[in-house]
Amino acid sequence: MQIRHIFEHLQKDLSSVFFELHEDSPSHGGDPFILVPAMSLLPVCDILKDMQRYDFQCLSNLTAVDFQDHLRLIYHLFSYTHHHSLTLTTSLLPPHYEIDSVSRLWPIANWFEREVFDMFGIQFRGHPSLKRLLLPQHWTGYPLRKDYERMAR
Amino acid sequence: MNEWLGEEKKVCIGPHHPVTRGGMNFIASLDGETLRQAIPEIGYCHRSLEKIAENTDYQGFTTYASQADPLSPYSCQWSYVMAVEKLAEITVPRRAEFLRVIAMELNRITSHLHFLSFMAEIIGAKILKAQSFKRAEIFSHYTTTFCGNDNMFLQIGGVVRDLCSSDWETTLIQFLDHLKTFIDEYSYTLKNNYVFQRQLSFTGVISVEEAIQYNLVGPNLRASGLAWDLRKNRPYSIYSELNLEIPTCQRNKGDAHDRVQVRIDEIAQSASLIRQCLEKIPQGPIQCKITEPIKPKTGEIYNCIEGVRGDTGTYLVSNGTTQPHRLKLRTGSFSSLALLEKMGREIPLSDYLTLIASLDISPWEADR
Amino acid sequence: MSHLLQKWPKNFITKKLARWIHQTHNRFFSCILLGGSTHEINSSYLRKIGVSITTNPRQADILVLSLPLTEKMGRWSRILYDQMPFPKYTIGIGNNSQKGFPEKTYSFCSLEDVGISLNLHVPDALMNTKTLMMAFQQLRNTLSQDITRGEEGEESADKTHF
Repeated sequence: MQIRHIFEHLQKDLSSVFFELHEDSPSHGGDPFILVPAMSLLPVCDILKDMQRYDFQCLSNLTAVDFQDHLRLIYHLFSYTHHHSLTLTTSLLPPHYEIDSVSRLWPIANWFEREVFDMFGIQFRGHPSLKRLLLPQHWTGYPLRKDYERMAR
Repeated sequence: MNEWLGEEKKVCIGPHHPVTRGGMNFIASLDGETLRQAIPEIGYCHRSLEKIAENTDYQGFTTYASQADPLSPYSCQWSYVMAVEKLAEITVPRRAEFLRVIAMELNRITSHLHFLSFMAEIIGAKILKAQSFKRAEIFSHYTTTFCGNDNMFLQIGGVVRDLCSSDWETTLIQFLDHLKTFIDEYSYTLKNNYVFQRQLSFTGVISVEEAIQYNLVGPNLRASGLAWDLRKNRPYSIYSELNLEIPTCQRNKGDAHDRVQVRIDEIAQSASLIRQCLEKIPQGPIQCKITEPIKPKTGEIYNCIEGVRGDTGTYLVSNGTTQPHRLKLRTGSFSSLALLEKMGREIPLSDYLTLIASLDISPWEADR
Repeated sequence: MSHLLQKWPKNFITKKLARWIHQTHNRFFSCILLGGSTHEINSSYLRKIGVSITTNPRQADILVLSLPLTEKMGRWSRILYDQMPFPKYTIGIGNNSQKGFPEKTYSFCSLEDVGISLNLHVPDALMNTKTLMMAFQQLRNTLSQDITRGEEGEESADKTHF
């Protein structure tokens, strides 16, 4: 399924939630993605995983990007049965970087979310054990944010 | 002795341990010889490549991308280079694509031969270990003569070097023939040797559902029984022109034995790919003209290739300047380690060590 | 051996010369390797020049560092170094082992922070069997020169061998 069709089906299935679809155009390079409000991330993921039409069993990547005024979370989903992929994004506004954890749906998200917490300081609600993954536990600050200043020691 | 049983002890396996290959730690709760729980702890090799990328220009980061994994430098490098080329709309010359495939497959053979020698050492077959190690050394010699120092072969827009000489090609093909007999020997031992059978069969069984849930990729996924290979299913570069069969194990048990068998099949597969490439390779330039410094358009891209340890993905965000806004490298070892946290429950300690070894984890790739 | 010794003049084999022979050329070193491609090292070649690879710091004489020294690993290598018996030597291979990485970022620490000083540093080299063999040979040579010059700590040698 193309991302366009996935989007149209999603709007029918979840009419109450507001979506934004970004498309690939000549002026704008790169992949198309679907922008979901942070509140409705978990219900959308629920549907994407469980409904036979989409059947996204695999979360292939999870990252965050710092755009100075807000943080953005990116979920790359993939389905081995239908061979289609989808990019979900949500925006988080300061000062409360908090979002629901999806580790209940995809167990691999457990480690991905720990890494994002380690590097960006995003709190995941309902995560089994939210600790630092790559850096020592006593570390202060979140290195991959743009305002982190510890480049040269 | 009996007093000790029923009482949990915490032991650290690593970071310096033969099975960890560099630096990772497993905090194990042991009850006698049974493992109650094992928690992998990584970050010993965290070199902050993603932060470095934000302060380097696009062409400059290609060297760092190869540092992501010392044993398979081209997986991450090619994934990164391809992402930039897609975003900046650079077309690579056809000869360069062939050379990239040759380098990648040579690298795959070297890495898998190292894995075979490592596996033989874990089991205790010292002679088999030495034999496969010798072959791996010869192959890394071939790679070095072809690519030079192995962290600067791929570049944005092409490759650095051309094929050296016709002598190199003929000796390589002779050696590939010789490798076939060695591989047959190894797989015969794997099938018929009592020790191999007892140690590897039915240890560390991973089902397909579990593998997909934990996002296991590459040879480990194929050993679980799912025939998925990006080179075949979503062909990139020139792989669509080459003859390629996805090597899956016929036993379909998903145990350590299958994981070794799949890698042996992949070596044969890569050897045939190299032969096809050397036959079909066209004449032409190896590097296209690019305007320095590279400035891709604003946008983001997620690009995946089939690396040595499975899908190697690069997520790249560009803001229209000469430096990337954000770069993320997604590697196969990371997800294998996440799975190990779940697998390490209520199994014998020795089985767990075999399981770690059979997943072919490189901590350098996982930590980045 | 004793009847040979009687024929020679009394002070021919001095204590210093004997120590030199024993410590540098007849001695079997065992080392710990820390680094990226340590599994690419062929231990059978090393055994021929009298070096074995061990995993236990209590049995090791030499610590070989060939890794970009990260915060976590730096502390760990210090723990290993403290456990090693005296006399102990350190070899650094490649540029990364001393500074960290070409680029200095948040996750690196230098050897000075950790508190280890290198006896021998091989710059601009890849970690492989050839480099290691060369490094061990060089370490032997420097050690032998130091001992003949009398710069090596006398106490340490006496404690271990005589």
